[in-house]
Amino acid sequence: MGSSVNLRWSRVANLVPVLFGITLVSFLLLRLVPGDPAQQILGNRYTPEAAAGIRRSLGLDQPLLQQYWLFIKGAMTGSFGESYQYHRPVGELLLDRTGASLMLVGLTAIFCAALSIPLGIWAAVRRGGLVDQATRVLFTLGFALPAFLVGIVLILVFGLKLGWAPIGGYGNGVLSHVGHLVLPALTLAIPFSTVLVRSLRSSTITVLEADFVTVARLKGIPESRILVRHVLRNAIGPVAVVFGINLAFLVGGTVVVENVFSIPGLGSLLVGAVSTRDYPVVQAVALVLAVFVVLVNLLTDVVHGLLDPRLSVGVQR
Amino acid sequence: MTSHEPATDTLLLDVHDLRVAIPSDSGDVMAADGVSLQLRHGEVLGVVGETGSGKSVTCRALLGLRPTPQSTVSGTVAYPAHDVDDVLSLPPRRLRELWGRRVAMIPQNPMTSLNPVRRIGEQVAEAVSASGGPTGAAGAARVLELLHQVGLPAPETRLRDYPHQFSGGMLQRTVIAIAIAQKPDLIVADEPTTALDVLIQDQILALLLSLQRDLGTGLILVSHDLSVVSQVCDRVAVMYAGQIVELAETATLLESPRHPYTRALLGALPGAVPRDQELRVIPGSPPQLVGLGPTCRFAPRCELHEQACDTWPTSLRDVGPAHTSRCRRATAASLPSPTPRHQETQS
Repeated sequence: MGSSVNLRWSRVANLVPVLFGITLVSFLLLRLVPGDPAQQILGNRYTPEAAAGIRRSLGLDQPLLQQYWLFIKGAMTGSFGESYQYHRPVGELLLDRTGASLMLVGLTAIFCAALSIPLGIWAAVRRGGLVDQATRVLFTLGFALPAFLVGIVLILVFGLKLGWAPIGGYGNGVLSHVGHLVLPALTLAIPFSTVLVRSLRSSTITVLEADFVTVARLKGIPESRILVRHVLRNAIGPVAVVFGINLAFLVGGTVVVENVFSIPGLGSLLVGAVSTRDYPVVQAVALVLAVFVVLVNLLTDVVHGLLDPRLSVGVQR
Repeated sequence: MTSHEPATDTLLLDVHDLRVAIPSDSGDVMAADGVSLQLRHGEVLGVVGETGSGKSVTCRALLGLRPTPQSTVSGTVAYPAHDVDDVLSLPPRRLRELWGRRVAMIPQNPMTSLNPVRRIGEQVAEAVSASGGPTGAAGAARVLELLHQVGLPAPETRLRDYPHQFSGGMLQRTVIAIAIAQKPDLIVADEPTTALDVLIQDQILALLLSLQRDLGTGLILVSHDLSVVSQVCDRVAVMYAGQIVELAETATLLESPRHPYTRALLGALPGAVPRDQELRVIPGSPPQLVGLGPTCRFAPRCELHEQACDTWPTSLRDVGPAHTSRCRRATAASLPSPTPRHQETQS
């Protein structure tokens, strides 16, 4: 047991340099791209003197290293400064916006599971059958189509033509939130599921050929129980790994999809902040998204370990 | 083709002209090509052959298992005692019934025979409760009884373990416990000791045979080791290139083999040859099982090979009481010795 616990803590310890690197890159990239927050804030009232005054008040006239140090120091104490655009503490903005994004990601995950688990297993059991062929074609399509295009098609068909779901916004109250997030979550889940379906299909085929499945069949238990009790749990481990690897793709997708569907989440906050050079907001959102990706990766590791006792009991084989 | 009648009225297993074709890029691989055999209740039949001779695929087909979903299986595999005319065309429901109650299999590698993510006890319990067996406390008691029966040490605690916490021998004991859970009439053991340490091999084989005797189960023991098979089996079938080339009572087969391949296998046994003589090896290697004709498949490696062998379609012929062989040159009286010319070139 000890070794696996150590392993997990060493993974957690690895987070520190990763997060540090992400803050550094996002900080430097922002300052490398052309554009000036002072200019954005002043707009028509721009004069060089006023701009210099604003830069001084925001601390942008100080050396880069000094600015970075201030940001890190603030982040450590949970203070990300104040948004240039909204004139509110960044922490507050994050709290406002995180709920919608988390809900979107959660709903996407549910759709992914609901789509890919039955389809992946079906495609594996009926190899070469209709579902198998269809998911093969969809895999190519889903991978080739950008998220905003899928989103716009869904808006056109289910939102405007059929009128089944709202085409944008977030609504009021949890139920309404969920209703508003159905199309955006599908937009994310459809391309993501194609990857999961194919990977679940191939791992299921491998497991179906294993001797222990034959031994289980010879016990005389029904095939449906074989699939659930013996095949699925073994086949889903590798898919969890694929999920973790592709997670960054999903988070990138939320940024686009939140804008297409005008959802007040972290992604739309980020895009707005980048275009107005709202440095504190961009840095904070980048950090939050990075922490999220890293944490979910860690979580998939833990889940993988729970699914497969060989991974959680230590190195003994 | 086989003329000997079984001792009991109903046979346990009656296989006729079994063929298994596995599609491949270079054509259909005929892993079994016209296999016919019969098994009495409680009989132990050894199936011997080199790796790739089709013995594994053949024996799995006896249970209605296909090597791949694309393979075609033809012929008939009947279980007369259970009113099964042909296991190959049995509807899934009845096949499951046969699997659950009547037959069992012990695969070669115990490391892959158990589900890695389920506890040992759970997996044995599943075999106990399937087909309407006991569940709950009665089921748990039966699981313990089975694990005691197969000699698993400290089963009360070990049944909470996962397979990766078991040694190979303990895993194979567990697989045997699963196999005997419903007291089946037939166990197919596919090289059950090959993947184990030498010391453990004997223990597992002894366990399997004592359980077979106690339960009166028919046993088909697949092996590439003629010495193992000859010690424990009532009859032995020798397989070569997807066909049975010789089938006889064990003692008969050992004393007077009627097929040059069997004789060559016996000659390659360390115990069968005097210490001062070299072990004989069989030159060449077995053929690919694609596009083979009706003539003798052992001919290219055979020391008795004659030109006539290349045109003579083989079939299992009677060469003695309950003794059949595919060799053209085998007679009831004898199998010819290699020609002197063959001997001279060696000295």
